Amino acid sequence: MPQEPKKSRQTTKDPVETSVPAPLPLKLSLEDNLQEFSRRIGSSSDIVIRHYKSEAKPPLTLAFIYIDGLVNADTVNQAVLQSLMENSTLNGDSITTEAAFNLIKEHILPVGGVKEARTLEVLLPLLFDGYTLILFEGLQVALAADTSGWEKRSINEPTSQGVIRGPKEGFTESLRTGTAMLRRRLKTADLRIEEYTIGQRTGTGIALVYLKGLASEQVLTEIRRRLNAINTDAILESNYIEEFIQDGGLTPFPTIQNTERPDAMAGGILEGQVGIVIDGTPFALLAPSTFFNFFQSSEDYYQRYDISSFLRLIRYGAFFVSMLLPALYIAVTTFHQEMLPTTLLISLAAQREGVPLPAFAEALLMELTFDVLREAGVRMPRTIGPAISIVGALVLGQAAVQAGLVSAAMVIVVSFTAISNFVIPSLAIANSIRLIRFVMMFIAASLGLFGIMSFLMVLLIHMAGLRSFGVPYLSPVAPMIPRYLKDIFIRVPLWGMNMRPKTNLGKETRRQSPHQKPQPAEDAAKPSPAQPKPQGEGPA
Amino acid sequence: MNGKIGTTQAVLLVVNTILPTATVVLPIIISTYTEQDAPLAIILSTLAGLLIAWIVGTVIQNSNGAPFLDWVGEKSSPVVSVILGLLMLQFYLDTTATILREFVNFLKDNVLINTPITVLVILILFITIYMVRQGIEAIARVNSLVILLYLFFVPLYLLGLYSDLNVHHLLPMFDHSLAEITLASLTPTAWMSEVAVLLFLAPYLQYPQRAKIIGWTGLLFVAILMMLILITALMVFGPEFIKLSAYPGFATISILRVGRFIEKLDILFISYWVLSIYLKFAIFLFVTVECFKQTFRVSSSRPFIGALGLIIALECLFSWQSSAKLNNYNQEGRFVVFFLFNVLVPLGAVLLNRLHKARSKRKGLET
Repeated sequence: MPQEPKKSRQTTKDPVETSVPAPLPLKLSLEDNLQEFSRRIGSSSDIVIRHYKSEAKPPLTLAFIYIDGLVNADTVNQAVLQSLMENSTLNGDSITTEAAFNLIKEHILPVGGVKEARTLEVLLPLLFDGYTLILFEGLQVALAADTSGWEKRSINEPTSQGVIRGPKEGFTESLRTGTAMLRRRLKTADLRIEEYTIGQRTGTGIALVYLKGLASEQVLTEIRRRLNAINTDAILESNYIEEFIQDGGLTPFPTIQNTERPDAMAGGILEGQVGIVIDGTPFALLAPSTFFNFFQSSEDYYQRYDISSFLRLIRYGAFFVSMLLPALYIAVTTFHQEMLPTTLLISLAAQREGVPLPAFAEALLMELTFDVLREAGVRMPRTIGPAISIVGALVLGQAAVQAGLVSAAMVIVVSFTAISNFVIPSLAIANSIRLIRFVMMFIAASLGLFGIMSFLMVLLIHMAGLRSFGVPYLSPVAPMIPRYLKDIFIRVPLWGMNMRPKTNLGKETRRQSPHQKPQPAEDAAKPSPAQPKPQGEGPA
Repeated sequence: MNGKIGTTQAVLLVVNTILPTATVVLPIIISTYTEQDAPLAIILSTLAGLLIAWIVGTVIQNSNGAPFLDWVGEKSSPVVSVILGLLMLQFYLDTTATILREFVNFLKDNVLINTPITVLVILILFITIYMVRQGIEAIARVNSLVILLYLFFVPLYLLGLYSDLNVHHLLPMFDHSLAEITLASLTPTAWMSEVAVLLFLAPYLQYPQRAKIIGWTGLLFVAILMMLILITALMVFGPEFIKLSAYPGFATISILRVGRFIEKLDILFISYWVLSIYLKFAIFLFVTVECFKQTFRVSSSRPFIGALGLIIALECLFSWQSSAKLNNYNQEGRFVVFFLFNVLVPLGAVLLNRLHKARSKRKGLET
């Protein structure tokens, strides 16, 4: 039996490379061009090809191509088809094809964007962006009119980052809506938006948004380099970009923030971060991001500084509880019973008396049960969602304790851990802790508190070595920069944060005039020796 | 990953280079000789330590932060530098192995009584190798964070012991002869001389010209904390009972309580101590690797970290099996070895530099 020759590694082509055809210039014959279009895009039902022949002699022959659903039908009909068909000059005998081309391009088409293209490789992406293509018989150049207008979701409240006080609008899946929302918040000439198209099959639009002069050039260069280095066929969500450009490789910690709040992104951009808005998802990215950025919520700045500071401290506490509580419970009940006061020890021992499982197995069972419930809650239709809480609370909580499978203390530990996990404002870092918690539990069951401390040391050293686009992940705590701690563990009043923290390799810059602490009129009128007069700095 | 470290970070590195093992071992050694006069031994050893820091700082200032063995090679000859490098490598391998042994001995005695020592050694070694691979910059950052926790632990320690402190246990003062105090100060001086690790950290110092300040500040910080631990242990147990515990510092913590609701906090302090000793071990492993790198002039030391770690683990497991032997070395042998490598070697380097300068001047005059 003849054997098929083996394909060598070198001859196996990369699917991404094969999807890039050689540039094909347009031909003089309109029919040939249309045939080539049909060959490339097939005869899909949503592609509309409309022929037009003028009354002139010789007639001007054109073809319009657009994709139904991606274009605004009214714009196509009124601004393109009607304008051209009813134009008397185009129907006159004396006009040549070249003259008609220029006339259409310069005068007839009443749409904002008109582009000229000579190859199919330029025309096809425009077609998929909702442009209407106009091909001419006898010309090797075509026009593309911006008629895009597909159905979009309206602006809604963010689902994952809600606030009690503050703006209620979130990004949508539209890139342009996203950039417009940022533009509306940052009305400055320094705002820059750079666009990229990534993904050879998805052609996803990506916008790099930053404030010139505030964002570090070093960071910008690095982000641009990493974006340009992405060679993939599909970008469907911001996580695709995040995984391709984030530092740290196999780190469990996120080094890029994601947000669906335009106000949060504007706040980040104002502190020198760079925003990355991706078409097709309401989740945009912010980089560089340090560990402490993930504990800041937009609402921290929309309510009083004292309550914001308190809540921030609660979040750090919840972070440690979420990561360590089950592991500490296992370590204490297994290795270090002497740590517990006698009465508590007796109470715990009595609860665990009939439990057949060791503390680790008990904790693992409950944690996995909670994760199953949580995942089921996400997938389950909303109408039967409350059933989950009944099943979780009654069947798996109360019944399991009564059946003697788990102790009541363990149910309390797992519940408090789960609730603490939801206190953390960033889902990205909350998810990191979910995984780390399991490792901690295993180590606690094997080596007790020493194991927990050892793993904490590994995590600490890992985080200390991590960088986000050149910015140390634990800055400004390690390395310690005391004057930038005003917005880390607590938030000082806004009038106390005159300088913009230098966490992005950029320059430390002033964001507002000093001495803005409100004072009674008579005190403010007196010149104070401790407070020198402002040196004519402009308002923020 | 080996970036430059700032002056404060370097000071804090010096603190954790000395303190974690010193707090465990020193109180029993010092109080055996001098009982209630133990604080005087600390003062004497601090003065000696400051002198050593001056010598080490002078070497770093002269070399302007250049790798120590390369600089010695330039000033003398490459042969001298290689021989000195081999001897120092042996010294650092031994020292790191004893640190590891003290670490696992403590864990075995107090925390994980049933866990085999080999398991502990392998685990600690893997973690420390990972730390060293992350670089001195990352170690220095974590070290600063860990030392920051003193702000929580020191007040808790003092508050918890307040009701048990008996100042009369410190009396009568000056009850021991100068000879006894000098003898008691030898071991802490040996520990203070560990400031000489700066010789190998010098290439990573952002401002090597501040080496003396780094050494002095670090040693003063260490002296204050050692004094605090020793005086409180003495005030709680008295000069006689303190000798009965192998780890008086931790014995003091075991009686610590705040009100009627916070007590039995030894495991909390031990957990904190575990973090500190990891850092101490990482600093010494880093210095050992750096010494190896400079001696054998290898461009990247990363492939050798594991191999050096393995040698340290084997030495820890098979050369220091007996705790009595290790205690004996700490009391009697350590001072001689440390004096040789941490004092005489840098002093020799200072003299070598002076000689070299004098020769160059003479040559300049002759020409």
